[in-house]
Amino acid sequence: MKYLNPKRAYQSLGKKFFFETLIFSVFLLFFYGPLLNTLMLAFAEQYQVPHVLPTRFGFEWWAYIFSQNDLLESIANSFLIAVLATGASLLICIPAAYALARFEFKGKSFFMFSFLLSNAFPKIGLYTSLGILFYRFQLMGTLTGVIIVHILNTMIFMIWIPSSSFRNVHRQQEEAARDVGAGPIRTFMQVTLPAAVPGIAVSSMYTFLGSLEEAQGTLLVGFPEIKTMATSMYSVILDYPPMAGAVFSLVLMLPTFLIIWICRKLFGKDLFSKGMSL
Amino acid sequence: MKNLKVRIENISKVYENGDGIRNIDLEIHAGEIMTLLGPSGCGKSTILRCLGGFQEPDGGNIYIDGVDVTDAPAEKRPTSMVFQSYNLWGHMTVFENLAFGLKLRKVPKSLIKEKVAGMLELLKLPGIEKKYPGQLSGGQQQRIAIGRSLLLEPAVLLLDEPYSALDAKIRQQMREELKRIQRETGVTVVFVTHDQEEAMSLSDRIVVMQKGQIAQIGTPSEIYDNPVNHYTASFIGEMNFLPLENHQELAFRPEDVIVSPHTGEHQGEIKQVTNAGHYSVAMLSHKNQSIKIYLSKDEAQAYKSNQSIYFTIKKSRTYQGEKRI
Repeated sequence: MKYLNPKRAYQSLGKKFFFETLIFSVFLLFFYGPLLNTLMLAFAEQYQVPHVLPTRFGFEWWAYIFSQNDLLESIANSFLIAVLATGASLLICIPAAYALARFEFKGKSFFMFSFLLSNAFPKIGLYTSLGILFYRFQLMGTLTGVIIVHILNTMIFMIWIPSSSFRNVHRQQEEAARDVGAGPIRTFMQVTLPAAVPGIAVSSMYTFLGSLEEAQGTLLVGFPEIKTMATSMYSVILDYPPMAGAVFSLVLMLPTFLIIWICRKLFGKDLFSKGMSL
Repeated sequence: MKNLKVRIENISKVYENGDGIRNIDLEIHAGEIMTLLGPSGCGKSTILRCLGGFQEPDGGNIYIDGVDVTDAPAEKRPTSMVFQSYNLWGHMTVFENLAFGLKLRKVPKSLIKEKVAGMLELLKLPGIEKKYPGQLSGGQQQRIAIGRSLLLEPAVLLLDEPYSALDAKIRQQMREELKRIQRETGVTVVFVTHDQEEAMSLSDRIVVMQKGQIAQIGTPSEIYDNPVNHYTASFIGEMNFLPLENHQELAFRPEDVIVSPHTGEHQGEIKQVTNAGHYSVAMLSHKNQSIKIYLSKDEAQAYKSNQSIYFTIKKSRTYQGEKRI
């Protein structure tokens, strides 16, 4: 205990390093503190005033969460919607990205810029006007409506990033394929697309993860028929003790960690820099 | 009578900035190596791309083996093109690159394997089927690209400056390789380059191009010994130009001059003698014009700067009214 004296630490580390370490520690606490708190709460079985830390740890709340059918349904919904939204987004946006990469037409730069516009302002205004349209077309509270909202959020990624990936595929590679006898579609599928996979993989990953956590639009359009993890989170926090909320948020976070880890393993650590060249 | 492989009839293609080709007529014989030679922007690549189907001409027709292919897209033409770079598909192995075209033509698997192995033998690169293009050197990549084209047995093999991205020593080896492969397969080759040395060493016939028009067509010796105009004369090899009266000029090569300290047609003063190995280059001043002359090793010993000498021109041509560049 004698050596835990701050004065001793100060003398041995030197003034600059001491303060840097101090500031860094404060930052780490600030950044990871809430996460650590969540971890602690998720495994707490008995946590009462006046104790600072839980008195008993266990999996009680995990068992509880997984026994609630509507919560399980919302977890399944989240993944279903994420998969469908990513798939539909790929189908719509990849051909558009290719067209923007290879062809010149009037209003092209404004068109590309317009995707930035929809992301530049608070989305709630966009969703409100969307809600009016959806009521007209009876899309409120339907799976289709929710998926449309998710696709809208992802369009900027799924068009800008793959577009630059396609642009980086040299025209001569495609010309060589045409020269050898491949038609335009075969050339696209066997030569252009494989070469652009890193960029498309990055955007698909962002789309999938973004869809999992999308709450605002889903709440507005899907509630109460369609419940996802993100929207159920609101009711879990309000209706249940904090431990349940902690478990639920870990369940929400887990896919994100897993998918990023898998992508990093599959595509290498250069994935993000290669994919994100706008 | 040489077999006519390709006939290009009155082709034109003009770009927005004025570059391009105008009213080109060209006949290519079967089994020959024809080179399109010229500086950037002269239109040589445009002709090649029109031949390959990558560029639609504004007017004119192209016949290959007597068939009109003017409206056929690249994938339907009996031509095969090798580009300057980015030929091979990086995400496929060498085998997959070579087999791509054969698979499209529904050639049976066993035959594909045989053909690919045979081609790699021809290219003197046996056994690298499983490698990826990224693992090969630039020269090896270009050879595989040529192999891929040859596997399809094209009527014409088109090469668009394929060696320009390689270093000088490799370029020379690749030239010899190409000549050997062409001898063994007998394929008709159209080669585009801006390097006159490459054109001279490789071709059966050279087409010298200037600003979208053909300046001269001939064998390397014909073009070197008898250039028909100022442009061709100055483009190939070294050439001296002396202005004469009536807007004419006298053109002669540095090696076609005899030098003597006492006798000769013209007189000049040596400005500089530069050693170039087994010969020397002497810069002469004659009537305020700079003239280049080649001297043998012994001759070079005898002459020094500021020395007055006589020279006789053994062979020359006269051109009319050309604008000096």
